[in-house]
Amino acid sequence: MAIFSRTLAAIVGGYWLANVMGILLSLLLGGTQANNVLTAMLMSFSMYAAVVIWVFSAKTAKQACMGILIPCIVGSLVVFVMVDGAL
Amino acid sequence: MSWLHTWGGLSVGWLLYFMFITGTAGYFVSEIDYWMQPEMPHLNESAEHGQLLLLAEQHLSRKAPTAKSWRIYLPSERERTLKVRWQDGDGRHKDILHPVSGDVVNVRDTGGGGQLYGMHYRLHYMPRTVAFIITSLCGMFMLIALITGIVIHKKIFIDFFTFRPGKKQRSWLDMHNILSVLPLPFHLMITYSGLIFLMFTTMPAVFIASYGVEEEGQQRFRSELRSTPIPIKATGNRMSLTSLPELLEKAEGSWGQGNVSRVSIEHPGDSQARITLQKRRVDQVSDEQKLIYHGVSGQLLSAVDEVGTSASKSFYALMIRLHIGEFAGTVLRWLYFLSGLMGAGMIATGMVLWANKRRTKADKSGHASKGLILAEHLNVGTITGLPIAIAAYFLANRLIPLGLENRAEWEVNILFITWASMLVYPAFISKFKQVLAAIWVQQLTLASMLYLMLPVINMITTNKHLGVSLLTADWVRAGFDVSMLIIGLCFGVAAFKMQLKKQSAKSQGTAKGAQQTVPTMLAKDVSP
Repeated sequence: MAIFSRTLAAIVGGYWLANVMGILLSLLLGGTQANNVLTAMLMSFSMYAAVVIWVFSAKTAKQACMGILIPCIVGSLVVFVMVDGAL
Repeated sequence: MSWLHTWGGLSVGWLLYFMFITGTAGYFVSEIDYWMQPEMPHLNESAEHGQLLLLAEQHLSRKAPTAKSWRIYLPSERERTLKVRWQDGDGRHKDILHPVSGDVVNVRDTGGGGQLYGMHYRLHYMPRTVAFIITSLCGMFMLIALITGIVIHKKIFIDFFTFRPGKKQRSWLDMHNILSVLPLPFHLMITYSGLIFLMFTTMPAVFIASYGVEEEGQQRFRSELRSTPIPIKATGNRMSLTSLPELLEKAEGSWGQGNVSRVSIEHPGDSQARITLQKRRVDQVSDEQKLIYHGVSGQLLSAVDEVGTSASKSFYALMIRLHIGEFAGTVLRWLYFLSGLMGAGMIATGMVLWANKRRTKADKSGHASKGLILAEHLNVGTITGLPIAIAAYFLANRLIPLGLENRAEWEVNILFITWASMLVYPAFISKFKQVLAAIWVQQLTLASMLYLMLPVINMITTNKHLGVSLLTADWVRAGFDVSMLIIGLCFGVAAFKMQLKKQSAKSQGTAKGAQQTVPTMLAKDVSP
């Protein structure tokens, strides 16, 4: 069960968080729009990898899941506010 | 870390092995294409490029006067023919033209090397998007396996020079380390760039956040990215095209003789036609250079030179180019190929290592888990089964009747049917108490026989066999046949060594010992 929840947190949560971080990065960088988006997309894979490795090196499965879930939710909210304002 | 490396690697290892093998074949895509089209004449010469453009234009205006776009590929060192592609309401089409006469060269219906290497990201029998997501996910597992692998290895540079042969488990680990560490920069580059390649499919949320979900915004993103002008709309007024040879001359004036690789024409015959000339890349990962002309007046609209556009764009373009390796000359191309095979070998040794460790324990306790047996079967069925399937793909190219409907598709079907049989075979045969080692010997022998047979079948079915290709200095075809013989011999040696090991294990009276040994010569010798 602990392995299952970590795996889920790593694959699904990792993807979610990589996207959230990617979007935030693309909105916060100070270049042209296309460049920011491209940079963020290029970076998103390293962020995904880092998140996955972190999930599996966290002390407990619960800690790992919470450590993913909270930034995901907070980040998503920030993204929704920012994108809503931008579009 | 170690857990993540082991299980992450194992879970997608077989698919990654497939991706590495078929992807590696891609570095010789033109050469494989050429072999798989025996109707293609051996060409030493070609007409002047300006003349070829006229021939191509004549052909296209006869065959596809109302097409949305034309593309003309001028001959190069690796691709000796003149190729034309066009797109109309029915989709994309392609013709191969003789580089002197301009006549259509009719070749058999085959997927060729393109179909084979395309499988490493397109897979088969499924929509593209699904395949992209699956392969990207595997790529992500690979990236993580690489990173964790590096972290596990505190003694990475010592291990780099350590190989202790003949020590069973330890030798396997050493082999795995060598195959991983030696071409590590390649492994990292190919994995990361592979992910980047498909990122527009796999990470859509990032650009949607800035450009919205509508097609219009995304098109704006794409054109900003590629620094190409926004697509033009046809006016419907027919006007004749400006002289292509003249534009070629202008471009060659600044790029050098023979350095235009492709001429594309959007809306040919329309008053708003646009012509793009692309510079050939030889032996360097240079930035893309294009000249864009108005299709009727011949006036230069823009000169696209990506040099220094922006760091992220250059990095992106660099990654894509490094992944494809189109710029590579002969030596670098072989290095790419060998690195790719070492990647496949790294994956194969990793999976064998996993199974061997557990087999040792299982033999002590007398109980082998279902997972272990499954992994052992998948190992033999993939590590030797896939090369067998690729040999079958090449054989199918020669043996399927030329008139068969969907012939090219059948070549692929045969590849997958063969692979599936190789996967099922160990499970089926192991019911008869065959030891695993015997199955390895059988499949290695089969692989060896098939690869050795290829040049022979080629001799029976075509007039482009070794006897002819060597005499006419058709080095690409000769090289393919010789490579197949070498691969066949390697599999033969592997089968022989494996057989010896099996016998020595038996003669020592350790029947169990035979079960844990897996061939010494590994998958590093697999097909192109």
